[in-house]
Amino acid sequence: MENVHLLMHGFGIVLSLNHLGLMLVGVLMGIVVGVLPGLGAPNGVSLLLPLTFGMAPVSAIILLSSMYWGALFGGSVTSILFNIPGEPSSVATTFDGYPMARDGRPTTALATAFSSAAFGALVGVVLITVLASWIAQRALEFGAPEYFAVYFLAFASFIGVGGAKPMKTVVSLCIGFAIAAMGMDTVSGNARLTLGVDEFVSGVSFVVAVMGLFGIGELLVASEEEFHARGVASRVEWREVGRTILHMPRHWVALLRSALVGCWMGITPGGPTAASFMSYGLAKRVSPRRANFGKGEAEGIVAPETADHAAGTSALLPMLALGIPGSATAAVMMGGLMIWGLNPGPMLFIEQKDFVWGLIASMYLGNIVAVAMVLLTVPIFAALMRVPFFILAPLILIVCTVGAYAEANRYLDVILMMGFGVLGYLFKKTDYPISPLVLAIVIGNRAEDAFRQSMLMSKGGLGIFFETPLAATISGIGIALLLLPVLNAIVRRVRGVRDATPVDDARPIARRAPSPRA
Amino acid sequence: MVSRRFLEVLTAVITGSFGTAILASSLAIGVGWTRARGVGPGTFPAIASALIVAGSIYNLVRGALHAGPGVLDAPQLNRIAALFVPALGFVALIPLLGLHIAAGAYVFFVLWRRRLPMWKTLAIAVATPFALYSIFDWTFQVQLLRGLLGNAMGF
Repeated sequence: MENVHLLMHGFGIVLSLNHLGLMLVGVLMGIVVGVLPGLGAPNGVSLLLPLTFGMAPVSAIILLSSMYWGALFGGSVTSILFNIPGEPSSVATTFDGYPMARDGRPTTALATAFSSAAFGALVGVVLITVLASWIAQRALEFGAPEYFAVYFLAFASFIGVGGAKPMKTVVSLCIGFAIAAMGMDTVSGNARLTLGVDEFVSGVSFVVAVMGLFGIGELLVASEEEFHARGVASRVEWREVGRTILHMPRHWVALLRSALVGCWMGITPGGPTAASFMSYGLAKRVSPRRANFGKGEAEGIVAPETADHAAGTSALLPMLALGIPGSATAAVMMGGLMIWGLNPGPMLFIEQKDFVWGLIASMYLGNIVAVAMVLLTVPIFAALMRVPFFILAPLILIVCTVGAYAEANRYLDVILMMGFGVLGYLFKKTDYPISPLVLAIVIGNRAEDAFRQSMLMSKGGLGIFFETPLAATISGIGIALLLLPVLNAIVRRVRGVRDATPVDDARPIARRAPSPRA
Repeated sequence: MVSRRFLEVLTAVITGSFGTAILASSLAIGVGWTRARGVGPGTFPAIASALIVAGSIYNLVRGALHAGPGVLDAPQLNRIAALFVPALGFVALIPLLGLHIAAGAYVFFVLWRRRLPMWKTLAIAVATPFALYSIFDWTFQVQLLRGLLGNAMGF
């Protein structure tokens, strides 16, 4: 098999002292941003971006992706020990993780979370190893209409199955497109939509949007409640870790089901947050142990954690093979790829073999490093949570400011970041999804280019998106996904459940610091 | 007291105004397909912003009529203001003092208001600019804004 050979080549690249060191640093920094409220994987990766410009792309992506893994793991630590999710994607882990930890089994809860997370990530990476180059090969035959159809499908799946109110997703997504369009028009080279601000000629950076929407917005939400981290003891008992891991195969049904949900949500850009909620909701409905959910049931930890990490990992598959990121963090990484001069998409697999397979190999190792590091450092990072929020908040805000400023050395970006912060806060309070906005900023121009090229080919007819069987199939699925919420509403109306709340389990809720029960 | 309805309406008004601004300038630069230049540069943003406007109106009406429960009470508003107002001050001071000094002053102000022991307050406030300088300016060669003060002192 060619893939195995290429993967081995990738391991050859990764197994150098330099790269293993970067991996370790990335994972550790990832755990820090994962643990701290207001800093998450998207901000963390954005913050590191300006620091990677001098690196070789493969080293840079190893650093950034390791940070992603670290952040995914770090978010679960605080969910379990403090009932405060460090990442939106680990909200669902609090439902059973915290009760289990409070019952005096923190080690069991942590070990269950980490081993299911590692399993989910492993499934995701194996999927990438097997499928990525195959998809990339198919994608080489894509023309502009097929590409636009794929973009359309990606956005339609946000609206159809993303979990938030469809019209709110549409608004969020289209704001991203509008922001992406500001500045230089890639076709004519003219400035457009600068709204009278000269600096907007160079556009609005996704990094600034990420710092504001995710960072400042999250801080504002967190500041509402004066939360005191009243965590349970955070000592790790190694014997218990071993026992828990040995017991993991008992949950094989939940593991497999959740990994499937996660991979699906990662590839069609639903993202890890939606994946973990959906997986938890599904488990709550079908698990034989569903009566215990919410009271510290192991399967209630397995389901969201496996899906979260499977989604986080497999979100990189469409980014690599098609140039469409599957999560906000993947979008930021893809922005990095473009800054480093790489062209995300199928050509990567031909022109940048070292980069692609180095990254894939690093994903295997990075997740192992992340599990080991997070277990070893739980007590240290748990101590971080005991620093009062009023001390952390200004420091995190300063870090976000520096991140927004350093992107282009522009003061205007800092002001913009504060504006995005207010918008991010309002979005979180009123249940608008934020990831679609960021994704649209990153790939808006590519989607528009594909659209305009298709129109040139068809002389202005929209029929071109249905001309080839491939384009027609992809567009068709996209339209079906768009109609899904409409169908749902009709079904609900017919059944007579007027204005019932949507499936709450699958809805990414704004992160709130729940009041710790005594 | 701030109600969920107010937040819904406010968000919809903000998104709607942005959409309207973009829609207006997209229409101004040319929309639609012409044989001469293909798709006009305003077409794609015009579609996106028209959707923003339509979606905002929908969300506005829905938010105003069926706002779910959930309000912000006075103590919560105070806590948000306690974070956000000094942060605005920090951002406003950056062009004047430079990022390093402004950050130190910001940290000092917040911790001093929360009555942290003076030695801790000073230690953190002084360490902040030095940490910023050593990580960004020195280690990674990302020069942070010096501001009028920094430039005047030749820093």
